[in-house]
Amino acid sequence: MTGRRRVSWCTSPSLPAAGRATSRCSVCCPFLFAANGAVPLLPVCFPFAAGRSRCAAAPVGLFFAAATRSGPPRPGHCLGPSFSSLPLHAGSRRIAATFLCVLFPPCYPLMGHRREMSVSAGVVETEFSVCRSSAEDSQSSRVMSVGTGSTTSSGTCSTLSSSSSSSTETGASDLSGDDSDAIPDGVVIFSEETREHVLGLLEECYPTRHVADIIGCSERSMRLWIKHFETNGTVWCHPRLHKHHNDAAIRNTHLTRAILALVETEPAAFLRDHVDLLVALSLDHPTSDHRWVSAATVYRVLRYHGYTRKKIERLYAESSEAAQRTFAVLIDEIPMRCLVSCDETHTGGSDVLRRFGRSRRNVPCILRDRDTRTMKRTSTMMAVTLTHGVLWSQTVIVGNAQTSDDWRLFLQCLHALMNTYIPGLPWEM
Amino acid sequence: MLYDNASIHDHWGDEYMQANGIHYVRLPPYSPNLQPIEGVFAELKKHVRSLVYEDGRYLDKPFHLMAAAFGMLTTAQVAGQFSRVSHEITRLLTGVAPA
Repeated sequence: MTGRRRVSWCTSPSLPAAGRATSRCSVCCPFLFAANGAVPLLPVCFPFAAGRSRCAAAPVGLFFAAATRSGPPRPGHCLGPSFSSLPLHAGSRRIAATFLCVLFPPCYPLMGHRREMSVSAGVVETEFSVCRSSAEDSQSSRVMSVGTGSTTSSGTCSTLSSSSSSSTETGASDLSGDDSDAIPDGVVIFSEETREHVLGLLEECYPTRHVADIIGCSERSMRLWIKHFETNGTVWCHPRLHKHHNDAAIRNTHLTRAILALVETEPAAFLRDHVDLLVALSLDHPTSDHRWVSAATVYRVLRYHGYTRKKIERLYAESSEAAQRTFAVLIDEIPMRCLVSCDETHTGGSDVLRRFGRSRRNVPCILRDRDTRTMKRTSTMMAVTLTHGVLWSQTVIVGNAQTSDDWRLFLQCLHALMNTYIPGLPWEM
Repeated sequence: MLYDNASIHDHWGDEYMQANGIHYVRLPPYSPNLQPIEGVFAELKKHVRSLVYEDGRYLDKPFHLMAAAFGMLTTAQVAGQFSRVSHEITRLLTGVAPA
Protein backbone atom coordinates (compact mmCIF):
# COMPACT_ATOMS: atom_id res chain seq x y z
CA MET A 1 0.00 0.00 0.00
CA THR A 2 2.85 2.37 0.78
CA GLY A 3 4.26 1.93 -2.68
CA ARG A 4 1.06 3.14 -4.29
CA ARG A 5 0.77 6.14 -2.03
CA ARG A 6 3.10 8.28 -4.06
CA VAL A 7 2.28 11.93 -4.14
CA SER A 8 2.47 13.87 -7.27
CA TRP A 9 4.78 16.66 -6.24
CA CYS A 10 7.62 14.21 -5.87
CA THR A 11 7.55 13.75 -9.62
CA SER A 12 7.37 17.37 -10.56
CA PRO A 13 9.97 18.34 -13.15
CA SER A 14 11.12 21.15 -10.94
CA LEU A 15 12.01 18.65 -8.27
CA PRO A 16 14.70 16.03 -8.31
CA ALA A 17 14.06 12.37 -8.76
CA ALA A 18 13.93 10.21 -5.68
CA GLY A 19 17.10 8.39 -6.55
CA ARG A 20 19.21 11.52 -6.57
CA ALA A 21 18.52 12.51 -3.04
CA THR A 22 21.38 13.86 -1.11
CA SER A 23 19.68 15.46 1.85
CA ARG A 24 16.34 15.53 3.60
CA CYS A 25 14.01 18.19 4.75
CA SER A 26 13.76 18.32 8.51
CA VAL A 27 10.53 20.30 8.52
CA CYS A 28 8.21 18.44 6.23
CA CYS A 29 8.73 14.83 7.06
CA PRO A 30 7.81 14.85 10.76
CA PHE A 31 4.62 16.77 10.19
CA LEU A 32 3.62 14.70 7.25
CA PHE A 33 4.11 11.55 9.23
CA ALA A 34 2.14 12.99 12.10
CA ALA A 35 -0.65 13.95 9.77
CA ASN A 36 -0.82 10.52 8.23
CA GLY A 37 -0.99 8.77 11.56
CA ALA A 38 0.92 5.66 12.44
CA VAL A 39 1.15 4.50 8.84
CA PRO A 40 3.24 6.80 6.71
CA LEU A 41 1.19 7.19 3.61
CA LEU A 42 3.86 9.16 1.82
CA PRO A 43 7.30 7.86 0.95
CA VAL A 44 9.70 7.35 3.75
CA CYS A 45 11.62 10.49 2.91
CA PHE A 46 11.26 13.47 0.67
CA PRO A 47 14.60 13.90 -0.94
CA PHE A 48 15.70 17.09 -2.49
CA ALA A 49 18.87 17.89 -4.26
CA ALA A 50 21.71 19.45 -2.43
CA GLY A 51 21.86 23.15 -2.86
CA ARG A 52 18.14 23.59 -3.30
CA SER A 53 16.11 25.33 -0.68
CA ARG A 54 12.98 23.26 -0.66
CA CYS A 55 11.81 19.73 -1.00
CA ALA A 56 8.85 18.24 -2.76
CA ALA A 57 6.59 18.11 0.26
CA ALA A 58 7.43 21.53 1.54
CA PRO A 59 3.96 23.10 1.10
CA VAL A 60 2.17 20.39 3.01
CA GLY A 61 4.86 20.24 5.63
CA LEU A 62 4.74 23.95 6.13
CA PHE A 63 1.00 23.86 6.40
CA PHE A 64 1.11 21.43 9.26
CA ALA A 65 4.00 23.30 10.75
CA ALA A 66 1.97 26.47 10.70
CA ALA A 67 -1.05 24.70 12.07
CA THR A 68 0.81 23.44 15.08
CA ARG A 69 3.28 26.17 15.74
CA SER A 70 2.85 29.85 16.38
CA GLY A 71 6.35 31.04 15.79
CA PRO A 72 8.02 31.72 12.46
CA PRO A 73 9.79 28.92 10.62
CA ARG A 74 13.33 28.46 11.70
CA PRO A 75 16.04 29.52 9.28
CA GLY A 76 17.45 26.83 7.12
CA HIS A 77 14.19 25.03 6.64
CA CYS A 78 12.71 24.61 3.27
CA LEU A 79 10.18 27.05 1.88
CA GLY A 80 7.83 26.42 -0.98
CA PRO A 81 7.57 29.01 -3.72
CA SER A 82 4.01 29.97 -2.92
CA PHE A 83 4.46 29.97 0.83
CA SER A 84 7.40 32.29 0.63
CA SER A 85 5.11 35.06 -0.51
CA LEU A 86 2.65 34.62 2.35
CA PRO A 87 3.01 36.43 5.67
CA LEU A 88 3.89 33.37 7.64
CA HIS A 89 5.82 35.33 10.21
CA ALA A 90 3.00 37.74 10.84
CA GLY A 91 0.04 35.46 11.15
CA SER A 92 0.90 31.84 10.66
CA ARG A 93 -2.03 30.71 12.77
CA ARG A 94 -4.52 32.65 10.70
CA ILE A 95 -3.14 31.17 7.51
CA ALA A 96 -3.18 27.74 9.03
CA ALA A 97 -6.82 28.22 9.96
CA THR A 98 -7.53 29.30 6.41
CA PHE A 99 -5.93 26.16 5.07
CA LEU A 100 -7.87 24.11 7.53
CA CYS A 101 -11.04 25.60 6.12
CA VAL A 102 -10.02 24.51 2.66
CA LEU A 103 -8.72 21.10 3.50
CA PHE A 104 -11.49 20.35 5.97
CA PRO A 105 -14.65 21.57 4.26
CA PRO A 106 -17.01 20.93 7.18
CA CYS A 107 -15.08 23.60 9.06
CA TYR A 108 -15.80 26.33 6.56
CA PRO A 109 -18.04 28.37 8.88
CA LEU A 110 -14.97 28.98 10.99
CA MET A 111 -13.48 30.95 8.21
CA GLY A 112 -13.35 34.67 8.74
CA HIS A 113 -14.38 36.14 5.45
CA ARG A 114 -14.36 35.43 1.82
CA ARG A 115 -11.07 37.06 1.08
CA GLU A 116 -9.20 34.47 3.04
CA MET A 117 -11.05 31.75 1.22
CA SER A 118 -10.00 33.13 -2.13
CA VAL A 119 -6.45 33.48 -0.97
CA SER A 120 -6.39 29.96 0.30
CA ALA A 121 -7.94 28.72 -2.89
CA GLY A 122 -5.29 30.52 -4.82
CA VAL A 123 -2.57 28.92 -2.77
CA VAL A 124 -3.99 25.52 -3.36
CA GLU A 125 -4.14 26.22 -7.03
CA THR A 126 -0.57 27.43 -6.98
CA GLU A 127 0.69 24.37 -5.20
CA PHE A 128 -1.01 21.94 -7.48
CA SER A 129 -0.22 23.90 -10.56
CA VAL A 130 3.26 22.45 -10.27
CA CYS A 131 1.77 19.05 -10.81
CA ARG A 132 -0.64 20.31 -13.39
CA SER A 133 2.13 21.64 -15.54
CA SER A 134 3.72 18.25 -15.68
CA ALA A 135 0.54 16.39 -16.40
CA GLU A 136 -0.55 15.86 -19.91
CA ASP A 137 -4.17 15.55 -19.11
CA SER A 138 -5.45 18.63 -17.38
CA GLN A 139 -8.60 16.86 -16.27
CA SER A 140 -6.59 14.21 -14.51
CA SER A 141 -4.59 16.77 -12.65
CA ARG A 142 -7.82 18.47 -11.66
CA VAL A 143 -9.12 15.25 -10.23
CA MET A 144 -5.86 14.78 -8.44
CA SER A 145 -6.01 18.16 -6.80
CA VAL A 146 -9.59 17.61 -5.74
CA GLY A 147 -8.84 14.20 -4.49
CA THR A 148 -5.93 15.39 -2.44
CA GLY A 149 -7.91 18.06 -0.69
CA SER A 150 -10.98 16.00 -0.11
CA THR A 151 -9.10 12.95 1.01
CA THR A 152 -7.32 14.99 3.60
CA SER A 153 -10.69 16.22 4.74
CA SER A 154 -12.01 12.84 5.77
CA GLY A 155 -12.49 11.52 2.29
CA THR A 156 -15.57 13.21 1.02
CA CYS A 157 -14.71 12.69 -2.62
CA SER A 158 -14.43 9.46 -4.49
CA THR A 159 -13.75 8.42 -8.02
CA LEU A 160 -15.28 5.76 -10.10
CA SER A 161 -12.05 3.93 -10.54
CA SER A 162 -10.93 4.04 -6.94
CA SER A 163 -12.18 4.73 -3.48
CA SER A 164 -11.93 8.05 -1.72
CA SER A 165 -8.66 7.17 -0.09
CA SER A 166 -7.09 6.33 -3.39
CA SER A 167 -7.68 9.65 -5.07
CA THR A 168 -4.22 10.86 -4.19
CA GLU A 169 -2.51 7.78 -5.38
CA THR A 170 -4.44 7.83 -8.60
CA GLY A 171 -3.23 11.30 -9.38
CA ALA A 172 0.27 10.34 -8.48
CA SER A 173 0.29 7.30 -10.65
CA ASP A 174 -1.10 9.35 -13.48
CA LEU A 175 1.77 11.73 -13.23
CA SER A 176 4.42 9.14 -12.70
CA GLY A 177 3.54 7.44 -15.88
CA ASP A 178 1.66 4.45 -14.48
CA ASP A 179 -1.19 4.15 -16.92
CA SER A 180 -2.82 1.20 -15.22
CA ASP A 181 -4.23 3.33 -12.39
CA ALA A 182 -5.31 6.30 -14.47
CA ILE A 183 -8.75 7.72 -13.83
CA PRO A 184 -11.08 7.12 -16.75
CA ASP A 185 -11.83 10.52 -18.23
CA GLY A 186 -11.54 12.20 -14.86
CA VAL A 187 -14.99 11.13 -13.70
CA VAL A 188 -15.69 12.04 -10.10
CA ILE A 189 -18.66 11.13 -7.95
CA PHE A 190 -19.08 13.60 -5.16
CA SER A 191 -20.53 12.39 -1.95
CA GLU A 192 -23.74 13.69 -0.49
CA GLU A 193 -21.85 15.58 2.20
CA THR A 194 -19.74 17.34 -0.38
CA ARG A 195 -22.75 18.31 -2.44
CA GLU A 196 -24.56 19.65 0.57
CA HIS A 197 -21.40 21.48 1.52
CA VAL A 198 -21.40 23.12 -1.90
CA LEU A 199 -25.00 24.20 -1.47
CA GLY A 200 -24.11 25.64 1.92
CA LEU A 201 -21.28 27.64 0.44
CA LEU A 202 -23.47 28.96 -2.33
CA GLU A 203 -26.16 29.87 0.14
CA GLU A 204 -23.63 31.96 1.97
CA CYS A 205 -23.04 33.88 -1.25
CA TYR A 206 -19.61 32.58 -2.10
CA PRO A 207 -18.79 33.05 -5.78
CA THR A 208 -19.61 30.06 -7.88
CA ARG A 209 -16.21 30.04 -9.49
CA HIS A 210 -14.42 30.01 -6.16
CA VAL A 211 -16.56 27.20 -4.84
CA ALA A 212 -15.94 25.23 -8.00
CA ASP A 213 -12.21 25.72 -7.60
CA ILE A 214 -12.21 24.68 -3.97
CA ILE A 215 -14.43 21.67 -4.28
CA GLY A 216 -13.23 20.68 -7.69
CA CYS A 217 -16.59 20.34 -9.34
CA SER A 218 -17.93 22.14 -12.33
CA GLU A 219 -20.39 24.98 -12.17
CA ARG A 220 -22.83 22.95 -14.20
CA SER A 221 -22.76 20.24 -11.56
CA MET A 222 -23.51 22.79 -8.91
CA ARG A 223 -26.47 24.10 -10.87
CA LEU A 224 -27.76 20.55 -11.21
CA TRP A 225 -27.42 19.92 -7.49
CA ILE A 226 -29.34 23.08 -6.73
CA LYS A 227 -32.02 22.02 -9.19
CA HIS A 228 -32.28 18.58 -7.63
CA PHE A 229 -32.46 20.08 -4.18
CA GLU A 230 -35.28 22.38 -5.21
CA THR A 231 -37.08 19.53 -6.93
CA ASN A 232 -36.94 16.67 -4.47
CA GLY A 233 -35.18 18.00 -1.40
CA THR A 234 -32.00 16.05 -1.93
CA VAL A 235 -28.88 16.61 -3.93
CA TRP A 236 -29.51 13.53 -6.02
CA CYS A 237 -31.39 13.33 -9.26
CA HIS A 238 -33.37 10.34 -8.02
CA PRO A 239 -33.38 10.43 -4.25
CA ARG A 240 -33.81 6.68 -3.89
CA LEU A 241 -31.26 5.51 -6.40
CA HIS A 242 -28.05 7.17 -5.38
CA LYS A 243 -26.78 4.10 -3.55
CA HIS A 244 -26.42 1.77 -6.45
CA HIS A 245 -25.11 -1.14 -4.46
CA ASN A 246 -28.18 -1.06 -2.23
CA ASP A 247 -30.77 -0.61 -4.90
CA ALA A 248 -29.66 -3.27 -7.29
CA ALA A 249 -32.27 -5.60 -5.85
CA ILE A 250 -35.02 -3.04 -6.33
CA ARG A 251 -34.14 -2.60 -9.97
CA ASN A 252 -34.08 -6.37 -10.46
CA THR A 253 -37.50 -6.92 -11.98
CA HIS A 254 -37.35 -10.70 -11.73
CA LEU A 255 -36.60 -10.60 -8.05
CA THR A 256 -39.22 -7.94 -7.43
CA ARG A 257 -41.93 -9.93 -9.17
CA ALA A 258 -40.98 -13.06 -7.28
CA ILE A 259 -41.07 -11.36 -3.88
CA LEU A 260 -44.34 -9.57 -4.52
CA ALA A 261 -45.97 -12.74 -5.80
CA LEU A 262 -44.80 -14.58 -2.71
CA VAL A 263 -46.07 -12.06 -0.24
CA GLU A 264 -49.44 -11.78 -1.95
CA THR A 265 -49.99 -15.50 -2.08
CA GLU A 266 -48.51 -16.30 1.31
CA PRO A 267 -48.87 -13.26 3.53
CA ALA A 268 -48.42 -15.40 6.61
CA ALA A 269 -44.90 -16.40 5.69
CA PHE A 270 -41.89 -14.93 7.44
CA LEU A 271 -39.05 -13.24 5.63
CA ARG A 272 -36.86 -16.27 6.10
CA ASP A 273 -39.52 -18.43 4.44
CA HIS A 274 -39.38 -16.12 1.45
CA VAL A 275 -35.62 -16.40 1.38
CA ASP A 276 -35.73 -20.18 1.54
CA LEU A 277 -38.23 -20.33 -1.28
CA LEU A 278 -36.26 -17.95 -3.46
CA VAL A 279 -33.07 -19.87 -2.90
CA ALA A 280 -34.83 -23.13 -3.70
CA LEU A 281 -36.24 -21.66 -6.89
CA SER A 282 -32.85 -20.38 -7.92
CA LEU A 283 -31.34 -23.81 -7.42
CA ASP A 284 -34.00 -25.34 -9.63
CA HIS A 285 -33.72 -22.53 -12.16
CA PRO A 286 -30.09 -21.38 -12.21
CA THR A 287 -30.80 -18.75 -14.82
CA SER A 288 -32.84 -16.74 -12.34
CA ASP A 289 -31.22 -13.63 -11.09
CA HIS A 290 -31.99 -13.79 -7.40
CA ARG A 291 -29.70 -16.42 -6.04
CA TRP A 292 -28.03 -14.25 -3.43
CA VAL A 293 -31.11 -12.83 -1.80
CA SER A 294 -31.17 -12.19 1.93
CA ALA A 295 -33.91 -11.41 4.38
CA ALA A 296 -32.81 -7.79 4.42
CA THR A 297 -33.11 -7.64 0.64
CA VAL A 298 -36.58 -9.09 0.73
CA TYR A 299 -37.59 -6.61 3.37
CA ARG A 300 -36.12 -3.70 1.40
CA VAL A 301 -37.92 -4.69 -1.77
CA LEU A 302 -41.16 -5.06 0.12
CA ARG A 303 -40.80 -1.68 1.74
CA TYR A 304 -39.91 -0.04 -1.55
CA HIS A 305 -43.14 -1.31 -3.06
CA GLY A 306 -45.22 -0.25 -0.11
CA TYR A 307 -45.69 -3.58 1.61
CA THR A 308 -45.45 -2.39 5.17
CA ARG A 309 -46.16 -4.51 8.21
CA LYS A 310 -49.68 -3.18 8.49
CA LYS A 311 -50.41 -3.92 4.87
CA ILE A 312 -49.15 -7.48 5.17
CA GLU A 313 -51.19 -7.95 8.30
CA ARG A 314 -54.20 -6.77 6.38
CA LEU A 315 -53.42 -9.39 3.80
CA TYR A 316 -53.37 -11.92 6.61
CA ALA A 317 -56.78 -10.86 7.76
CA GLU A 318 -58.22 -10.87 4.27
CA SER A 319 -56.87 -14.33 3.60
CA SER A 320 -58.57 -15.73 6.70
CA GLU A 321 -61.67 -13.59 6.50
CA ALA A 322 -63.88 -16.44 5.30
CA ALA A 323 -62.64 -18.78 8.00
CA GLN A 324 -63.19 -16.13 10.64
CA ARG A 325 -66.73 -15.57 9.42
CA THR A 326 -67.48 -19.27 9.68
CA PHE A 327 -66.01 -19.30 13.15
CA ALA A 328 -68.10 -16.28 14.14
CA VAL A 329 -71.28 -18.09 13.16
CA LEU A 330 -70.22 -21.03 15.32
CA ILE A 331 -69.07 -19.09 18.35
CA ASP A 332 -72.13 -16.86 18.25
CA GLU A 333 -74.21 -19.86 19.31
CA ILE A 334 -72.25 -20.19 22.55
CA PRO A 335 -72.74 -17.64 25.32
CA MET A 336 -69.63 -15.74 26.22
CA ARG A 337 -69.94 -16.72 29.84
CA CYS A 338 -69.55 -20.35 28.84
CA LEU A 339 -66.27 -19.83 27.05
CA VAL A 340 -62.96 -20.74 28.64
CA SER A 341 -60.20 -19.11 26.70
CA CYS A 342 -56.83 -20.86 26.96
CA ASP A 343 -53.44 -19.98 25.58
CA GLU A 344 -49.79 -19.78 26.52
CA THR A 345 -47.39 -16.89 26.50
CA HIS A 346 -43.73 -16.37 27.18
CA THR A 347 -42.17 -13.80 29.42
CA GLY A 348 -38.61 -12.84 28.65
CA GLY A 349 -36.31 -9.95 29.30
CA SER A 350 -38.04 -7.45 27.08
CA ASP A 351 -41.37 -8.21 28.70
CA VAL A 352 -40.02 -7.74 32.20
CA LEU A 353 -37.63 -4.85 32.15
CA ARG A 354 -38.29 -1.25 31.29
CA ARG A 355 -34.98 -0.93 29.55
CA PHE A 356 -34.91 2.81 29.58
CA GLY A 357 -36.83 3.46 32.73
CA ARG A 358 -40.15 5.13 33.05
CA SER A 359 -40.86 8.73 32.27
CA ARG A 360 -43.76 10.98 31.42
CA ARG A 361 -45.30 10.79 28.03
CA ASN A 362 -43.20 12.42 25.30
CA VAL A 363 -40.46 13.15 27.81
CA PRO A 364 -37.36 11.05 27.13
CA CYS A 365 -35.76 9.50 30.15
CA ILE A 366 -32.16 10.25 29.35
CA LEU A 367 -30.67 9.96 32.78
CA ARG A 368 -31.13 6.24 33.16
CA ASP A 369 -28.75 3.76 31.66
CA ARG A 370 -29.90 0.67 29.86
CA ASP A 371 -30.96 -2.03 32.24
CA THR A 372 -28.76 -5.03 31.64
CA ARG A 373 -30.17 -7.34 34.27
CA THR A 374 -31.20 -10.78 33.13
CA MET A 375 -34.14 -12.94 34.05
CA LYS A 376 -35.07 -16.52 33.41
CA ARG A 377 -37.55 -17.04 30.62
CA THR A 378 -40.90 -18.32 31.74
CA SER A 379 -43.81 -19.82 29.90
CA THR A 380 -47.30 -19.38 31.23
CA MET A 381 -50.51 -21.21 30.32
CA MET A 382 -53.63 -19.54 31.46
CA ALA A 383 -57.38 -19.99 31.27
CA VAL A 384 -59.80 -17.12 31.71
CA THR A 385 -63.56 -16.80 31.74
CA LEU A 386 -65.89 -13.89 31.49
CA THR A 387 -67.37 -14.21 34.94
CA HIS A 388 -64.44 -15.53 36.98
CA GLY A 389 -61.43 -13.87 35.47
CA VAL A 390 -58.31 -15.97 35.69
CA LEU A 391 -59.41 -19.53 36.23
CA TRP A 392 -56.10 -21.33 36.23
CA SER A 393 -52.52 -20.62 35.32
CA GLN A 394 -49.41 -22.67 35.07
CA THR A 395 -45.95 -21.11 34.90
CA VAL A 396 -42.73 -22.98 34.23
CA ILE A 397 -39.18 -21.87 33.54
CA VAL A 398 -38.35 -23.03 30.06
CA GLY A 399 -35.68 -22.84 27.47
CA ASN A 400 -37.92 -22.73 24.43
CA ALA A 401 -41.57 -23.37 25.19
CA GLN A 402 -43.95 -25.73 26.92
CA THR A 403 -44.72 -29.06 25.34
CA SER A 404 -47.83 -31.08 24.74
CA ASP A 405 -47.18 -32.89 28.02
CA ASP A 406 -47.43 -29.55 29.79
CA TRP A 407 -50.64 -28.90 27.89
CA ARG A 408 -52.22 -32.15 29.11
CA LEU A 409 -51.09 -31.46 32.66
CA PHE A 410 -52.69 -28.06 32.40
CA LEU A 411 -55.93 -29.62 31.16
CA GLN A 412 -56.01 -32.06 34.04
CA CYS A 413 -55.61 -29.27 36.59
CA LEU A 414 -58.17 -27.12 34.82
CA HIS A 415 -60.70 -29.89 34.49
CA ALA A 416 -61.06 -30.06 38.26
CA LEU A 417 -62.23 -26.44 38.25
CA MET A 418 -64.67 -26.72 35.38
CA ASN A 419 -68.26 -27.71 35.21
CA THR A 420 -69.74 -29.42 32.21
CA TYR A 421 -71.54 -27.24 29.72
CA ILE A 422 -74.89 -28.55 28.57
CA PRO A 423 -76.48 -26.50 25.80
CA GLY A 424 -79.77 -24.96 26.87
CA LEU A 425 -79.07 -25.10 30.59
CA PRO A 426 -77.59 -22.48 32.90
CA TRP A 427 -73.90 -22.98 33.29
CA GLU A 428 -71.72 -22.16 36.23
CA MET A 429 -68.15 -23.01 36.94
CA MET B 1 -62.83 -24.37 25.70
CA LEU B 2 -61.34 -22.07 23.10
CA TYR B 3 -57.73 -22.34 22.00
CA ASP B 4 -55.59 -21.78 18.94
CA ASN B 5 -53.74 -24.10 16.58
CA ALA B 6 -50.38 -24.15 18.32
CA SER B 7 -48.38 -27.30 17.88
CA ILE B 8 -48.57 -28.25 21.53
CA HIS B 9 -52.36 -28.47 21.24
CA ASP B 10 -52.09 -31.89 19.67
CA HIS B 11 -54.60 -34.68 19.30
CA TRP B 12 -53.68 -36.17 22.69
CA GLY B 13 -55.09 -33.12 24.36
CA ASP B 14 -58.20 -33.30 22.16
CA GLU B 15 -58.74 -36.91 23.11
CA TYR B 16 -58.38 -36.05 26.77
CA MET B 17 -61.05 -33.36 26.48
CA GLN B 18 -63.40 -35.61 24.59
CA ALA B 19 -62.97 -38.31 27.20
CA ASN B 20 -63.79 -35.86 29.99
CA GLY B 21 -66.77 -34.16 28.38
CA ILE B 22 -65.10 -30.87 27.61
CA HIS B 23 -66.34 -29.17 24.47
CA TYR B 24 -63.57 -27.44 22.61
CA VAL B 25 -63.38 -25.05 19.69
CA ARG B 26 -60.27 -24.23 17.72
CA LEU B 27 -59.68 -20.76 16.44
CA PRO B 28 -59.24 -20.26 12.71
CA PRO B 29 -55.61 -19.77 11.65
CA TYR B 30 -54.05 -16.38 12.16
CA SER B 31 -56.93 -15.07 14.18
CA PRO B 32 -55.61 -13.85 17.50
CA ASN B 33 -58.15 -11.05 17.35
CA LEU B 34 -60.84 -13.61 18.18
CA GLN B 35 -59.03 -14.92 21.27
CA PRO B 36 -59.96 -13.02 24.47
CA ILE B 37 -56.92 -14.21 26.37
CA GLU B 38 -54.50 -12.45 24.05
CA GLY B 39 -55.56 -9.11 25.42
CA VAL B 40 -55.38 -10.50 28.95
CA PHE B 41 -51.76 -11.45 28.31
CA ALA B 42 -51.01 -7.91 27.26
CA GLU B 43 -52.48 -6.64 30.52
CA LEU B 44 -50.52 -9.26 32.42
CA LYS B 45 -47.22 -8.14 30.95
CA LYS B 46 -47.93 -4.55 31.83
CA HIS B 47 -48.29 -5.63 35.45
CA VAL B 48 -45.11 -7.68 35.20
CA ARG B 49 -43.12 -4.70 33.99
CA SER B 50 -44.54 -2.48 36.67
CA LEU B 51 -43.76 -4.97 39.42
CA VAL B 52 -40.16 -5.43 38.33
CA TYR B 53 -39.69 -1.72 37.97
CA GLU B 54 -40.92 -1.11 41.49
CA ASP B 55 -39.06 -4.01 43.08
CA GLY B 56 -36.04 -5.45 41.32
CA ARG B 57 -35.95 -8.48 43.59
CA TYR B 58 -38.70 -9.98 41.47
CA LEU B 59 -36.09 -10.72 38.85
CA ASP B 60 -34.70 -13.50 40.99
CA LYS B 61 -38.16 -14.88 41.78
CA PRO B 62 -40.04 -15.40 38.53
CA PHE B 63 -42.80 -17.50 40.11
CA HIS B 64 -43.48 -14.89 42.73
CA LEU B 65 -43.50 -12.29 40.00
CA MET B 66 -46.06 -14.11 37.89
CA ALA B 67 -48.24 -14.85 40.90
CA ALA B 68 -48.23 -11.20 41.87
CA ALA B 69 -49.06 -10.18 38.32
CA PHE B 70 -51.96 -12.63 38.20
CA GLY B 71 -53.22 -11.17 41.43
CA MET B 72 -53.31 -7.72 39.86
CA LEU B 73 -55.52 -8.86 36.99
CA THR B 74 -59.10 -7.94 37.64
CA THR B 75 -62.23 -9.57 36.41
CA ALA B 76 -63.19 -6.33 34.72
CA GLN B 77 -60.05 -6.45 32.62
CA VAL B 78 -60.83 -9.97 31.50
CA ALA B 79 -64.45 -9.07 30.84
CA GLY B 80 -63.27 -6.19 28.70
CA GLN B 81 -61.37 -8.56 26.47
CA PHE B 82 -64.42 -10.79 26.09
CA SER B 83 -66.42 -7.74 25.19
CA ARG B 84 -63.87 -6.82 22.53
CA VAL B 85 -64.11 -10.29 21.00
CA SER B 86 -67.88 -10.08 21.08
CA HIS B 87 -67.75 -6.88 19.08
CA GLU B 88 -65.35 -8.48 16.65
CA ILE B 89 -67.70 -11.40 16.13
CA THR B 90 -70.57 -9.03 15.60
CA ARG B 91 -68.55 -7.20 13.00
CA LEU B 92 -67.79 -10.43 11.18
CA LEU B 93 -71.43 -11.44 11.21
CA THR B 94 -72.74 -8.12 10.03
CA GLY B 95 -69.91 -7.50 7.58
CA VAL B 96 -69.28 -3.98 8.82
CA ALA B 97 -65.72 -2.80 8.28
CA PRO B 98 -63.81 -1.84 11.43
CA ALA B 99 -63.64 1.84 12.25
